[in-house]
Amino acid sequence: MNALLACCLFFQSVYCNPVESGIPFQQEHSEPGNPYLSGNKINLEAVRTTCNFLTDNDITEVDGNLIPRRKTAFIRHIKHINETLEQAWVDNRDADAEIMGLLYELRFFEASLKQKAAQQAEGPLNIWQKIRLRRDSNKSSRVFRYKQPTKVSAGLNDPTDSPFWHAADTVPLQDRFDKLAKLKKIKAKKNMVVLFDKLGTDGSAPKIDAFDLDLDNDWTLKWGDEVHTDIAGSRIFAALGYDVDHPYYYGENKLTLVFNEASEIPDASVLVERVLGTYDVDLSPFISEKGIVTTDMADSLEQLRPFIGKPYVRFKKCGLEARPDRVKRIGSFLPEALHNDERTELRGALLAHQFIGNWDTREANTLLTLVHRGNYEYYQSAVFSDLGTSFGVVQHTFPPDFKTGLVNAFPWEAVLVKNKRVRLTSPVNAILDCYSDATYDDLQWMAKKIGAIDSIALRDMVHKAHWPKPLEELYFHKLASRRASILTAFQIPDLHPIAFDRNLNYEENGVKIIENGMLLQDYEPEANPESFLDEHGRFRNYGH
Amino acid sequence: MDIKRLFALVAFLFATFTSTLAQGTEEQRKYGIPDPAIFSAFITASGTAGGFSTFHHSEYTYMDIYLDTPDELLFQHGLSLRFRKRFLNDTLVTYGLQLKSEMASDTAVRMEVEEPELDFYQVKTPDGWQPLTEVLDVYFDALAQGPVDYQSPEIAKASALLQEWIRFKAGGVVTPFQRLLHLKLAGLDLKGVQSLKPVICGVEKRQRSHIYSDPANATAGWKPVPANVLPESLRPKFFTEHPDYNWLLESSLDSAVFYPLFASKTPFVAIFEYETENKYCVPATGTQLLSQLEVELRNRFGLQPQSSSKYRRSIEGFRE
Repeated sequence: MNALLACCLFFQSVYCNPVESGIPFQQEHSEPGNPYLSGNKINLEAVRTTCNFLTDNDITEVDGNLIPRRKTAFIRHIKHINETLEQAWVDNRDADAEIMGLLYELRFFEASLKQKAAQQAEGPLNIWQKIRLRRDSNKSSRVFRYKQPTKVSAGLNDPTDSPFWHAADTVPLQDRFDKLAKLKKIKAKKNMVVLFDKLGTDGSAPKIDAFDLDLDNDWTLKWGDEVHTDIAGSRIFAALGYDVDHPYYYGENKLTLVFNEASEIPDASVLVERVLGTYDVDLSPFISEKGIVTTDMADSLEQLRPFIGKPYVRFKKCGLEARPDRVKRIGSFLPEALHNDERTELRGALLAHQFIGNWDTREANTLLTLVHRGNYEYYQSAVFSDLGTSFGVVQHTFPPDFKTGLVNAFPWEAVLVKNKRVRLTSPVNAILDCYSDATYDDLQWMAKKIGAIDSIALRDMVHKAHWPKPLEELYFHKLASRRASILTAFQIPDLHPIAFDRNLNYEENGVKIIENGMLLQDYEPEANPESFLDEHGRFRNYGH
Repeated sequence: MDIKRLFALVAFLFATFTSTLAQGTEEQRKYGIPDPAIFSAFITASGTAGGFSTFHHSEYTYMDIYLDTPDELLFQHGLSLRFRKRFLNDTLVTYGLQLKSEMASDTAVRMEVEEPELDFYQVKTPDGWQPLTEVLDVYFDALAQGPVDYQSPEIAKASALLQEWIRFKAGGVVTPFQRLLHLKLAGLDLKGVQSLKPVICGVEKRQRSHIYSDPANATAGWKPVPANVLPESLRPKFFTEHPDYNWLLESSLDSAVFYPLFASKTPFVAIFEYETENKYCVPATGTQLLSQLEVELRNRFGLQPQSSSKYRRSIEGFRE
């Protein structure tokens, strides 16, 4: 760990990068066996092999797997890196920090693209992979135990900013999500009109792809139990310094999905049929209105004017996740390769997952992305994706099923301490190396970040999830309690104590909704068809 | 154009459009022009032909350096490879390296891949690194003055630098070189690609026009075409300003002159031709539109289809 820290500090002092990458110097580069080096000089042949692999769309297979088509912006970025390295080779330059950074970036991209090709070739999870997920879930409570040190340590310093994590700046924690969105040029309007593209076929929750009206940017539309949880989880992860997906909540009639009459799914009725057939989920309860776009509708929402006469549907509630043109997804961010499992910021992420109770921690839910900053400048960013399987997860073995966002299943403590041993309470379905290798110190580092979330930030982030009011209140108190349990377990003074009530009561019109911190009844089930109590989820198959 | 049609085929059309772009192919037709003066007047006046309206929007100047191997293997394989400098409306200058195939006689489709940006490439000289574009400009500056003397010291030096750059980059990330190696054509292995060198150069004036349908100009029998579906970023400003116009095709009237960079009895080859290109999101519909326009132009101006590229015609001319 000290070596890694020293390495980071070294990098901080010498690293500069003409192609705007953000990859820090890696210890491994000084080790023998770096494929891009011959002694301390660049191995041109190896560099070219990788750069050709990353830029040549005529290379369509790797290890027998189909390679996803490389995007123009990605190819351009790699060519710039390649040119810098080729010139350095011609000049017979020693591999300095700049060269090392670029070589690392190439290696990262190559490994990530290969991972993506392999992942796509695998298809849906097989029975053994599902059993492993279940086994990891069961193992979590045994694995994630840490001995409390007898002497309180000062703790680890922050890692250098990297594609994996960024230290807090002057932006309030609750606004870091919006700052990331702005960098990616994401524009989620108060009232959205999106154009139907296609029904999703992968993943476990029903979703469709849609075009923004500018046809340059895309959106993914989702329904069900992750509509609130994904939004809260992503905002909390962003507040803690991570890059995330950008899901937004749209309430009743706030989003209009317009259909293409000539497509395979020309209207809402066919959509309902197809979602039922594909995901075994009945979308009907989520629909608030459907029909044909009228002049009156266009008079009240100008964006609809070009679509008068077209079929549309609106929903009681849905989640809309941005797929901006400025962000190119490569593959996973390789939490188990390239020494990434040694990174404090990735090990510490385990505690962030615990804070929100996220269950689905598979590598497939990590992304390496290339983001266009503008003026043809790009930066790499590692994204924690799909954080919606959180805030109270219940699993069933027979039939295999799970449900998220069940507030009563969301424990009041994220961490328990018994006999000077710290135990994390939330199971995860994939114990990645960076999580199994996490130490007390790594988690303590993240605990400090969680401690920096104050009442205002927490309230704001929970509010943005748009849970119904009683649920919002209960989640706020539970998260405050979980935060307190984390700070206590990791012996961190609470500089921003947040009051919470484990015996929270909530009444509406004389009806008890919450009693002693428990949700008693499903709140407004007509408006919230996913249910916050019913543990019967959808039959989750991780990809049909 | 009924703006409501804008969305009529969004998903299908958009997907088809993007997949066509991704293939690196384009559908073009070329025509010889019996009376250049009359046809040129038609283009600059933004005339109409049948149900097609035209809008003359730009005048481009292109300067090209064509490459081939010493034994003209690209020519033999029906390919052309050129460095191109584009002057767009006298304001913007860009450089690219384009590999094209000759037009397939049955489909009118040409394979085309491009290295769209050359500004960041550098050439090593005895005095240090020099931008590739500066080396290319030695040719292009000479072209601006007239015929290029390939034996002049400046051109000979630039040619040597260019050949060294090609030799070094042949196995690297330059897209046309990647494609050439991928094609695995006889003689065009790495060594063959490394032997590419400048063989002809030339200047081309290009009058660009949009071809579209305007509901106000619809003629009898004109069957309306559903709105072309494009990402906003690809839609020309003209159609943003005139949302009722439906962009269908793009055209260019080219007048070019090429000079040999080798000994030839023919000092130059002049070419005057008209090109139309499919811009419609459904390729099959675009093909029909190209044919429809072809009938109009043949009847009115006597335009005659031809398929050979400028490179092929030039090389054949210099052999005479």
